[in-house]
Amino acid sequence: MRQPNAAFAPGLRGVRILDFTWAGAGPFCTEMLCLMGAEVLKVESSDRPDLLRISGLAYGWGVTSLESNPGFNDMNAGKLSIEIDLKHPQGAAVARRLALAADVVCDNMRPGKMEALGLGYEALNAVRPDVICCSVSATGRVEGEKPPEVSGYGPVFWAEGGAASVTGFAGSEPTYMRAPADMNAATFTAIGVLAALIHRQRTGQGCYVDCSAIETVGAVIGDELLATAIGAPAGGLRGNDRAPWSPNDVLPCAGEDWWLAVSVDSEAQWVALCEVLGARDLLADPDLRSRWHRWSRREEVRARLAVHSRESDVHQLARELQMRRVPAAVSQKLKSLLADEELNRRAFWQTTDHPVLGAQKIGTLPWSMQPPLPPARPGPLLGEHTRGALARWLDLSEGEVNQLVESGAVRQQDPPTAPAPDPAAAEEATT
Amino acid sequence: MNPSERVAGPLSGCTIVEIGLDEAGQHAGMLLARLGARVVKLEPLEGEAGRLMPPFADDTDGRRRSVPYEFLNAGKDSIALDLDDAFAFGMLAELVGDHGAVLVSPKFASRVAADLEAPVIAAGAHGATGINVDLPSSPFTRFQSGGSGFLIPGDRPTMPGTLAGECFAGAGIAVCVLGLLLMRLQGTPAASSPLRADYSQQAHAANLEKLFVGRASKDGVEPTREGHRYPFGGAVRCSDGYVSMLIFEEHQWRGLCRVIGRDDWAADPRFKGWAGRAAMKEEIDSALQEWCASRSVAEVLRSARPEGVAIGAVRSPREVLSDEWLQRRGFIREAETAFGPARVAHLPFGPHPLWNVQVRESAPLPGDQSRQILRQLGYDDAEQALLETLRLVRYPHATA
Repeated sequence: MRQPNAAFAPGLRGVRILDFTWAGAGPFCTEMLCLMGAEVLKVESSDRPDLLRISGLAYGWGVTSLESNPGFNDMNAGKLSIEIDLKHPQGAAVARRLALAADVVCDNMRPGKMEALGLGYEALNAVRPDVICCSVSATGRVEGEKPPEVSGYGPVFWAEGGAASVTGFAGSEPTYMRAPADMNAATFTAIGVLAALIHRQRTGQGCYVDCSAIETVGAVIGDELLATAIGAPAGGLRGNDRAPWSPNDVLPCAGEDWWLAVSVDSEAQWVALCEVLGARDLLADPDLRSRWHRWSRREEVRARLAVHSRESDVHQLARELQMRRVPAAVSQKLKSLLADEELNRRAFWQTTDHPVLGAQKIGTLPWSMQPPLPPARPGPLLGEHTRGALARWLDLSEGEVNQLVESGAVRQQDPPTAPAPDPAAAEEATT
Repeated sequence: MNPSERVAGPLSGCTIVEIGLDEAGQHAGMLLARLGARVVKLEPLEGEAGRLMPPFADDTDGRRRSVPYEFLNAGKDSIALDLDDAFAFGMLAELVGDHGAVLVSPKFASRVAADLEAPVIAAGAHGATGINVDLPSSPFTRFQSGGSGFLIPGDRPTMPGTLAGECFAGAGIAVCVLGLLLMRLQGTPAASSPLRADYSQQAHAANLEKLFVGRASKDGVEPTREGHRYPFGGAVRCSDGYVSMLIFEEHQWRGLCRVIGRDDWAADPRFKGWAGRAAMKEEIDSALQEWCASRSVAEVLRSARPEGVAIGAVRSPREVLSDEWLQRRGFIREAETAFGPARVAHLPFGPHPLWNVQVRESAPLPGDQSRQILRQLGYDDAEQALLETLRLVRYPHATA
C-alpha cells in the first residue's frame, strides 16, 4: 500500500485493486471497496465486454451501447477502466505488471483462467509475498484437484448451497433467488479481502481469498445446516412461517400488487393489528389472542385478515401499525424504495452524473460514517482511464503508452460510445 | 484440512464488543470470531431474547438451547450485566483496547462514550439515526423493506429460507466493521474524530437488487415477481428431486437444445434471443419438464453440464453437509458443538491457512466469561462478589 497522508482521513487510502471481475458477484465486491476509498482499476475488453454492459441488449431492454446500461453504472461506481487485450503478448505483460503494482488482484473467472494468464496467486506471490489475490467462483479450488463443473449464476449457487430447498411455500417448488445470491457472494468476498488487508497491514504478508459462491449460500443457512447436523427439526419449505411470530406474512392491499408485511408476537400487537385493519370479527374471537391458536389456524387467519386489508393503502397501514408498535413494513418495490425518504436522507441513494447516461441514482454503502466518505462517482466508460492508469500505476512515459496503444495491446476508448456486440460474445461468463 | 494447521486468524488480538444486536448483527459478530477476533457479548442479566428462538435441542449437559442462537453466536464470550447501569458501558474502552471495535444496536448506541477512540458501528433495521430508527421490526419485515422479498418468484412476497435475510445483512455489517478496523490501522485518527458508522439493514437489502435498481432508477421500469421469474427452467422436477436451471447466453441455449434432443430449435428463429425464447416459454418448459421427469438429478446434471447449460442440483442441507469437496476446502468441518460432535459451516474462503481459525463451535451461556473478563479488567474476588450483590453482573450457572 502506498503511504497514507499524514493527516487522517477516512477511507481505504492508498489501496489499489486490479479488478478482473465482471457481471455481478465480483464487481459488487470491488465497488464496495471503491466506495470505501480504494482505487479500483477494472480490466476490460470491448471484444468481450462485461456482461452488465451488454445484458440490457440481451434482455431486449433497449440498451444501445456499451456505455448505456444503468445496471453497469450502478455496479461499478467510481472505478477506473483500462482496456487490455490479454491475448496480445504485450497486453498480458502489462496485466502482469499492473498486478504486481496492485495490493489486491480480484477475479471471478473459472478456476485456472488467471493461472493460465500468469496472474494466479502462486505466480504473483513468488514475486510479491504481500500480494492479496481474491477469486470468487462457483466452487472455489482445492490444490491439485479439478473443481466440480458448476456454472457461475446466482440461482445455481442458491440451489447448490442448500438454500433453494428451504425457500418457498410448502407444497410448491423450491424457489430461487437471483441477484441476492450474487450480491451475497460479493459481500462475503469483500469480508475476505478486508480481512486479508488487515492481516497484511499487521504482518506484511499477503494471502489468497478463494471465495466459493456456493459456500456463501451455505454460510447464510448455517442455522439450518446445524439443525440438520444434530437431528433437530428441519425447516424445509415453510414460506413465511416463522415461529414464534404468528401471523408472520404479507397481506394484500389496495392497488396493483401491493403487500403489507406484518409480524405479530404479543397479544397487544394482535389487538392493534385487528383494530388498525378494522377486523372486528377476528378481534371478537378470544382464542385468537393467543399465538397457540393463531399459529394452529394461521391459513384461516391470513385469509380473514386479507379481507380487511385488501382495500387499504399499504403505506398508511404500515405507518399506523408501526405507531402501535407492531412490526410492519411495506413489501417494497424498487421504485418506491428509490423514493424512500429515509434512504435518501441518509444519502444511501446518491445521484451520479454519467457522461452518457446523465444523472442516475445509485445505491452506495449501507452505512453512513463520521468522518464522512467522499460522494460516489459514476461508473467508467470502457477503457476511459487506460492512459492515465498506465502512467500512474506503472510510471510509463507518454511514448511508452503510445507504443502499447499502437501495438493493440491496450486501448484508450474515446468517449462516449462503442457499438454493442452480439451478446453471444459473452460466452463462458462465470457469473 | 489438518487441525494442527489451524492459526490465530487475521483478526487475532482484536476484541469486538457486541451489545443488544438482532440476528444480523450477531451473524456479523460470529463471522468476525471466525476471522480470529475475540468477540465479547455484553448481555442483559437474563440473557438475550435470541436464546428463545426456535428450534431447540438438548445440549450435552441436557440444557435446552436455541439452535439458531448457537449458530449465530458460536465462538463468542459473554459477560452478563445490568445494561441499564452505567457500569456496563464504562468498561468498553479497556475491553476493546487499541485494536477493537464496538458493534451496538441503535437502542444502546447513545450509551457508548462519544470519545471512545475505537470504531463504533451502530447497526439496526433502519440505522441508528433518522425518522425510522425506533420502528419495531422482525426478520421478516426487515427483509421485506428492502425489495428482494417482493421479487422472489411466487404467488406472494416471501422470505428466503431460515435466517438467510438476516445473514445477508450480517455479512454486510461485517464488511463495515472490517472496513473501519482497516481505516483505523491505516492512520491515526485524531481523538476528536473517532470512526463512527451508522448501518442500515434496509440499505443493504436494497443493494441485493442492485442488478435491477439501475433500470428502475434510470428507465422507470418496475420489476415484478412474474417478470423476475425465468420464462422457463428455474426449479425443474426430476425423478428424485429438483434441478435449478437458467439459460442466459446463446451457447447455453444451443447446449440445452442438444441435451433435450431438440437441435432444430437452436436454428429456429422463433427461439432466437431472450425475447424469442420468452415468447416460446410454454413449449420450452413443457419439453424440459418432460425430459427431466424421467431422469434423476444426477443424470440430468451429467448430460447438461458438459453442454454448458447453467444448472445445479437443488440440494438439501444434508447433501451440503456431506459434500466432500466442501469438506476438503474446510467450509464444512467436524467440530464439537454444544450438542455434541457435528458438521458445521465455516468461512467460504478456501484452504489458505489464514482462514483455518480454531473457533469454539458453541455459543456462551449468559455470563460464561463474566469472571474472566472482570479479572482481566482488574476486579478482585471481593469486588466481583460485590458486583454480583449489586446485581450489576451475573456469573455462570447462577440463576437470574
